[in-house]
Amino acid sequence: MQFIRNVLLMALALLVQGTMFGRFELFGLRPDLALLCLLVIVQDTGGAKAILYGFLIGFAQDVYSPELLGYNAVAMSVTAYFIDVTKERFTVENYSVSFIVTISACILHDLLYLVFYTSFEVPVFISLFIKESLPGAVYTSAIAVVVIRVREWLRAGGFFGVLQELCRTER
Amino acid sequence: MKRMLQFIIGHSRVAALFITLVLSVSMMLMRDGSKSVFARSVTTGIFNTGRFTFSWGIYILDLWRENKRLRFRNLELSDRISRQNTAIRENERLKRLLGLKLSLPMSERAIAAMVLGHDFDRVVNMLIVDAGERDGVRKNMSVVTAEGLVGKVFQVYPTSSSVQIIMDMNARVSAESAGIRGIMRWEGGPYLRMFGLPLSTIPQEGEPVYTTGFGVYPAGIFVGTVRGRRLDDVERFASVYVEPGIDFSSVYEVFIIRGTERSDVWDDGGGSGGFERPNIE
Repeated sequence: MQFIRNVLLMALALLVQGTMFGRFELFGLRPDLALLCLLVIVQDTGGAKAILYGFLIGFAQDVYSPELLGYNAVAMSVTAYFIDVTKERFTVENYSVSFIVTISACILHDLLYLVFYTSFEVPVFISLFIKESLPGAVYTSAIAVVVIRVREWLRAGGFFGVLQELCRTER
Repeated sequence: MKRMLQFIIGHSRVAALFITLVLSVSMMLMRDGSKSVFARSVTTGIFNTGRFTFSWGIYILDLWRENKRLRFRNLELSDRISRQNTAIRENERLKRLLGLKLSLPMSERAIAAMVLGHDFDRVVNMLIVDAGERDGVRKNMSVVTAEGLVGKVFQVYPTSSSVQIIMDMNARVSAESAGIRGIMRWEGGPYLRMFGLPLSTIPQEGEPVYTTGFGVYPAGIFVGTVRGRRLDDVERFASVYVEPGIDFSSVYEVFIIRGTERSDVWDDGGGSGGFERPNIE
């Protein structure tokens, strides 16, 4: 069941990324929904499964650009490994810690992708990294922190949890 | 091998990363043409699977509707085929009748009639036809179809007549087969019996049987086909079974031949054929 949920989530993320997320552009920057989706999935799974999910998301992105087949798959697989290793850091109370860890994951993904995309052309690589990757990573990380926090809050009970806490009387 | 498996299981994360990296690099190293083909085959497969998975309900509903429509159509077509087959059979029957009428030497004197009913419950096995005295029908006229001899007119009414068929206990037909003459009558069952045949020479199986012209019926009308010798003969004469040429349960049209109503020696001489009784001294 979890597998089906995760696959549907990935499909939804790619669908929204390709259609609606142009509306959420900020100064020409768009967040990476596929990476956000991977972040959420890896929180629930772990180990080898997380890396396989990363490979699947990357492969699904590559299928729509056959000439870049394998690029996103590599980047997402390694990023999934990194996220799995640093999983606990995403949910710490300190927002800065979770923000830094998230932005590191985004930068790692973009670094790997750009290395293959630019075919090791350093000037192009640096230009794209500074103009597109870094700002995009910041934007994506900001959203990721919010998403993770909301998710944690919902898991803790959400509004009902808050009501429960309010109504609980100490003995 | 076991150690390797244990190592992989113990370091599953690293193993998964290694495998995914190998796959990704393999895809990167593919030729451009192969990449396109591979990507297209994956997307097509996924889309087709997804389309079937999410549309099977609609597909089944469409199938149900199509099935219902085809069932009605099948019923309509079956009915049409049945009517057409009936029309074809009737057409063939009428063609044969027309052919018979044209080929009959007395075709100008043949009266066509439709069979209105059958009467097999009374003493005489009869057909009722829709031609009567007003149409020129007279008692004892011969009645034929394209398949052969039916019988003779038994009773005449103003607009209809009853025909005694040859498969009647009281009917007699003077017949010949392969030049051998005999008398035919019906004794029950599906066949007529032709008796009075010489023991030394009898018609063979499959030989056609025709009227001789002696008696009520004119000569040369097909009656039936010889179907075997009657085996329990202990008489001085032999007999054979004759299968009639006509299926009396499916006779729909007949021809009544004018001028064949010869009075016979058993009748009261009421015929109008103009034959006088011989004055035998």
